[in-house]
Amino acid sequence: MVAIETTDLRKQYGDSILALDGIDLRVESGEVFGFLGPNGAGKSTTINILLDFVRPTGGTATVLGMDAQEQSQEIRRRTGVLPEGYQVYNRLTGRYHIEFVIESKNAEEDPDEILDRVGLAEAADRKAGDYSKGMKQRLTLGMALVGSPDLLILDEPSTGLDPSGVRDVREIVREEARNGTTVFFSSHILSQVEAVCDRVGILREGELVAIDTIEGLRDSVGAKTTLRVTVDRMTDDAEAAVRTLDGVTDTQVENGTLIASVTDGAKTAVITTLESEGVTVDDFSTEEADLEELFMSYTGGDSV
Amino acid sequence: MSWKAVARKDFHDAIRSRTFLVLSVLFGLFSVGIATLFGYFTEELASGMASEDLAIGLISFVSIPVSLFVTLVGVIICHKSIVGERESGTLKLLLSLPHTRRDIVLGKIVGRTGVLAVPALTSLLLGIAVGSIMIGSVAVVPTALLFLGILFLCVTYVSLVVGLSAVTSSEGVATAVAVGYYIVFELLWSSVLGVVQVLVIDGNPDWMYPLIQIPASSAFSEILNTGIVATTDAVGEDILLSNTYDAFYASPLTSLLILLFWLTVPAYLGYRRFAATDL
Repeated sequence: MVAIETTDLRKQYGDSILALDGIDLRVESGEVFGFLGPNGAGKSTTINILLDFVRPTGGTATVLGMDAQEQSQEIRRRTGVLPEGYQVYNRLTGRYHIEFVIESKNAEEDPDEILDRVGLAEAADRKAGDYSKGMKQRLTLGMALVGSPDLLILDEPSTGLDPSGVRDVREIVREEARNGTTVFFSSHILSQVEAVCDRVGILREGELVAIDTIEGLRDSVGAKTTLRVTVDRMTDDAEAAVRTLDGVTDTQVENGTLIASVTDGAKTAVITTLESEGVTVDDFSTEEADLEELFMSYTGGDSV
Repeated sequence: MSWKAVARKDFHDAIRSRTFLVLSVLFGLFSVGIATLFGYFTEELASGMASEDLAIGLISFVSIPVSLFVTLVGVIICHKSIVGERESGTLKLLLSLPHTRRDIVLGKIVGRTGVLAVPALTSLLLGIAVGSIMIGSVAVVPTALLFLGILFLCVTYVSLVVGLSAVTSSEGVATAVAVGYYIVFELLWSSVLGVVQVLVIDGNPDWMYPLIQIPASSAFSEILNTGIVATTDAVGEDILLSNTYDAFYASPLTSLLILLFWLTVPAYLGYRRFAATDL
């Protein structure tokens, strides 16, 4: 089953602004998919088309096997959404918001259970207008969870949340994913996505520039892990042997420590090669490439 | 039937507006005040009049503040009803749920009609109750008619202004259009027509009739007066203006058509525009 599929999806505003320039995207059912890109890359436009807030100027989009324009109401019946740029009803209580969603979706849930899940049990009877930005975000996430949706679409869910809020969102995403819910999750911050997502897509200026697992992305841009091996005594032969290994691009020796840039698969080979060269390995550590840099290499253009 | 959920939510939300509560209390007092004045002065000045005629007079008097309330407050509480949600972003929450854009427009109209009707009918009830006790008479059928009429006026105004609110994506434009409508049709229309009639036309041709009825509130009072006259054995002839036009179209049916136009056309056009637009 495919949860989300877009084919050559285009959106042009007026004559000049091209928001989406032919997006081909396929998110499998049950997947947690991270949709990454800097602000203004077209993430929200894509999501807005999936929800029929915005109509595409070309291409097609289907959600849960249904056409995003023709069957939008049925799509939204089975989807929980945390939209971008929303506002809550200031005069209504948190509980009323959840009750309204339950009524709108013909769901049979206990509003207090939902509020408890997003950490708003104490604030349930306060007006949502008095909530902090983070509490509003929690409330909206709670609204998205009503009715056990088949698909969760979360547009920048971490906005306005403190670190514990970000952790809670991650935990809820994991729980939902365990129950088989597909999660489509947009963010401009890579670290929030990499912790929970099976795959990510990177959007840049209206184009999908990469779509892969985090590991795959790291490999495809040649992002390396730095391996530091502390040895008793380094020999030139041993260093040369390591350098010829597949997946090792660079080596250097500093104060009895071998520092090698390697791909993930080559780590063990480095250790075993050293040992077979008669070098005793005392200790080793790895340091992953900064994923922000990886992200920048896709989205920043000139920094590659 | 998802518009019902939208209507209920909208009712709960809009009725909690402070501006609206203040205006409702104000107009409630206005209505009771005008009824008290009517009762007081008829005792003093018109004690010879038949109490049935007084009861009809009371209805005409009390209907003035109530229809003013409906037209003025209707514009105030509805002109941002859709565009406001669009601009603030609550519309995104609403449309993330399985509601169609038709559900939103319909739900808004029903919800805000409820919000407007509660204080309007309460003011009416209070005013007529106080006045009736003072003059010692009540005109049951015309009163019931007035209730229905005010309810119809509420739904017409709400539908008209919600329709305007659905057309644009800017609150500023929506406010300008709503205020413009109010000034042109509610404040200027009849005076300008009157001046034109006196200075330019110098007479009262038949085609003036439909022109006069164009504002929804004028069409409404024409229908209301006709209804009251029809249900009260012609006692009110001297109180209520009689129709002096001859043409077939110079009839309350024309007024009814005009009201139906205001009830349906702006809302439909607003909905069509709203349904076709990007948020």
